[in-house]
Amino acid sequence: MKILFGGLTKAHDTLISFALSGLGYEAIPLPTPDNESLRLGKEYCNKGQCNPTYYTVGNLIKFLLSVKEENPEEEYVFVTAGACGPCRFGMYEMEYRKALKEAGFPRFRVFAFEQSKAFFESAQLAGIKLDREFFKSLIKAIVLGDLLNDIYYKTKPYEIQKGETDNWREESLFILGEALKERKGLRKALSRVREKLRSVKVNYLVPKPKVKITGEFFAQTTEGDANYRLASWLVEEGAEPVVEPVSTWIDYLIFKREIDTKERAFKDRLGALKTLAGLLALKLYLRAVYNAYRFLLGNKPDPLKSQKKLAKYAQPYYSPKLAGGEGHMEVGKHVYAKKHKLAHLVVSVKPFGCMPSTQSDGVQQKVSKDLGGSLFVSVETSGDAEANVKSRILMKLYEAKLLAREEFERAKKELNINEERIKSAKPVSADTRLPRRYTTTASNALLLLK
Amino acid sequence: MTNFIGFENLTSIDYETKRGEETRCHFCQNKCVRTFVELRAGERKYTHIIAPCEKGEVLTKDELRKLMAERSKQKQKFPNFVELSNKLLFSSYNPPAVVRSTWRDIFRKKKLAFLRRARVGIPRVLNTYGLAPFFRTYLEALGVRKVIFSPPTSEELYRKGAKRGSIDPCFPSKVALAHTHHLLYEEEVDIILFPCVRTLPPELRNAEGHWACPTVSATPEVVKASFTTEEDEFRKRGVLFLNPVLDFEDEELLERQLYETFSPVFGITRAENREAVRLAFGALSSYKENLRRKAKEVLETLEEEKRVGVLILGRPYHNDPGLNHGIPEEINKLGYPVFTIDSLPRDEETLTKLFGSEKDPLDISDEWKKCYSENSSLKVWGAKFASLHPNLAVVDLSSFRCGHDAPIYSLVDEILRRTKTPYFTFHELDENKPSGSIKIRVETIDYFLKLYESETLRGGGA
Repeated sequence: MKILFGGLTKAHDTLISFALSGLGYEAIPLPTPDNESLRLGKEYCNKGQCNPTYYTVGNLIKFLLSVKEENPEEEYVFVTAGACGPCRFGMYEMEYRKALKEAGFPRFRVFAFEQSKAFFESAQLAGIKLDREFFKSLIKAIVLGDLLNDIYYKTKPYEIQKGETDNWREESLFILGEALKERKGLRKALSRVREKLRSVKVNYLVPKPKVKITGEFFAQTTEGDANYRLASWLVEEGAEPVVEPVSTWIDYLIFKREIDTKERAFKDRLGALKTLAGLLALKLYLRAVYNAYRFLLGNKPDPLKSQKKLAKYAQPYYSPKLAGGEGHMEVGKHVYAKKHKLAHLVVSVKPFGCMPSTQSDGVQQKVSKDLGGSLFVSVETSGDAEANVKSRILMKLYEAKLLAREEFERAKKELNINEERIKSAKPVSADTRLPRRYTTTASNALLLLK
Repeated sequence: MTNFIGFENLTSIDYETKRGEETRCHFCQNKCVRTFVELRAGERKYTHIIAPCEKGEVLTKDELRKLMAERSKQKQKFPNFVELSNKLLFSSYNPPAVVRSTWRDIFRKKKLAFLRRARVGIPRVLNTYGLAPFFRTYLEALGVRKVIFSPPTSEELYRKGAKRGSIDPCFPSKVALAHTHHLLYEEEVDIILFPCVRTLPPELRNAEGHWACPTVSATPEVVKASFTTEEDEFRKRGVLFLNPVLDFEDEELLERQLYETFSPVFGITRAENREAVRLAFGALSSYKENLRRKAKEVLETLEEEKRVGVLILGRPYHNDPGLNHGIPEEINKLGYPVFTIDSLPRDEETLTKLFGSEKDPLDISDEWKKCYSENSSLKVWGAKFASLHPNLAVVDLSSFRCGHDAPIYSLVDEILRRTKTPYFTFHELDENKPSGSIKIRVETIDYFLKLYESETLRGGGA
């Protein structure tokens, strides 16, 4: 039985497939959803769906049609994330079933991760053992994917030799993947990844605007047509994208459960205490894995954001008790980006018709104003209208570029560094960890010249 | 007997159109100009009146009196439950006062004084269309001076108050800005209560959840931001804006949430809050019971007379005439009783008769596994109910961008197709009211339902 999965970034999907093969499964990541997936999704799903449904459902059908001769209903199962509300993401499973039936695969099995007994039982029947090892391997793969992506987008805009960062990522995925598959030697593998990063040379002294990508989970995470390859396009446009780790989402799910439990604790204090203890253990494990691997990579990637802090920042505008999609997190991340000098511009990307993400946009104008005019742009992706979306971002990106240059000039003055000193500076290794005083990477790199 | 004028008269058809002061209607204050089309075919003469409302379709006061009397009689027998529901939803249930004077009042004197003079405004939008009796009774039981609901959505109300806002959600969410504007600038209120209703009162069993739509839940936050971005308009007008997160799925939790909201404002005690919540739930039940009792009677009449009624398969806010664009009323005018999902009777006798006694009639998990969105689940349940009742046809209303309706479009269609239940859709309703196409669609529905009554219900007899 082969397990199909996908929908995250290339790094995540590759590492998850290695991790699952380490547990004895043959796991195949689906290719990044493209516009052909969208077309197939629209053909077989209900009308009026949000486009992550069309892209992900269509992507599965596209794959199944390509292996139609192999009896895919018997040979493959598809595993995906599930939920029980409140937005329609929780209904995807039903949409998968409907579309599969209409596309000619009525018996094809789809498993949506849920905390229900039924899910665990049906997965067991399909030969998937959902034990502690399974989830630990999954978390490790996701965290490693996050850290690689973080470093990749911190390095790519400044690489001197074009393509060097991509080669590093490919090699790193293989090194880490092998360690995950062998289920040993991860520490050594991370050291090798860091060593390889050391050989990549970068010039940080070019002021580039940092652009935080936030929004609906799928739209902000995918690297394909579903968000018009936003992160790599931003690099081409002379910006440094700041991507969100998938771990933030896992951390948010734990946090959400925590606040729900606390709210209802008056009914059963002992039960609530037990649940909270379990959640704390889970949270500590996630953070321990994240911080340990981050440390082994020279603390180059950003730390995981505190969920408490994100909720505190969002509270005056959008209640963290309101669930659905990223809920308050989009608002919290906007405030965080400005307050912690993480980015010059925040781009919130969402599929057309995304309910929670559209609503949280409704308060962002006030957030921007209260933050003294932070740069924020919200864009809807529908598969078409790429030029429109990109031109909207470019307008804001121009302002962000000005901000980055202004800050760089100010930093030069403050640090008393002249143009000649900058010109004579040698390229540095990509594993160099920069101090954090300014938003712009180039301004922070000036601190190394002092 | 046919009305066909005959082939010999077809070539001599002539007509004259009149539109001016002489065709103006004087039966109400609007004084609309009508169009008279006089058609002549040989010896025969017809006059067609094109008017914006039914009153204008007659010429004399006597004719009008006769028409209105007929309509009233028909409405009594075959009511429009959208209209009836709106009447019952926003009426007072006259609860007894729960805040009584005690010696402790000296510690909450100011807050109690505020309670007794407080005029509380509630936007008549979204889930208020299902929960208004709860809110009104809760506040009246506490002893506020007045509870004011904004009026139903109209073009004028929307035009006046919807200038703020930076996003483009569904129209039912967008109109909330205009309703809040109305309460803030057109009414005298001290408090605007616009709760973020997170979960709804559970109506169905074995469901995964009872969530309200996330767009609906978050609308009050968007409204708050829109009125406070440039300046805090609430503060400027001396109005307190309250938008607590409320869970109707869990009565105990709801009681705490309401206490945490209103105790700091009105100084109420936990016991007073508890009692007000109890009365509020009582009013909600009473509203539903009244509606369902009447609906049961009408359904029985339909069965006896072998006639058909129309179930409006919509969300609670589709009771708003500004959002349903008058579709239920147009259908009702043609003599069909119009039911809402809320009005469908849930008594054991009716449910057993329709669903049988083997399965739980209030469990839809056999049709829809992911039943966590309460209003979507109720639409599926309503479709099941209608599919089992031969005297019901379905008109499905759905607003443009409705994220929770989209996944159930094909399911509703499938359920109703199975039993060949007459089913019509008005999907993607938005701000614009396409009166012409609505009229044509309703005429088509009327034609089809008449055929259904004569061929299916009466087995071919007239």
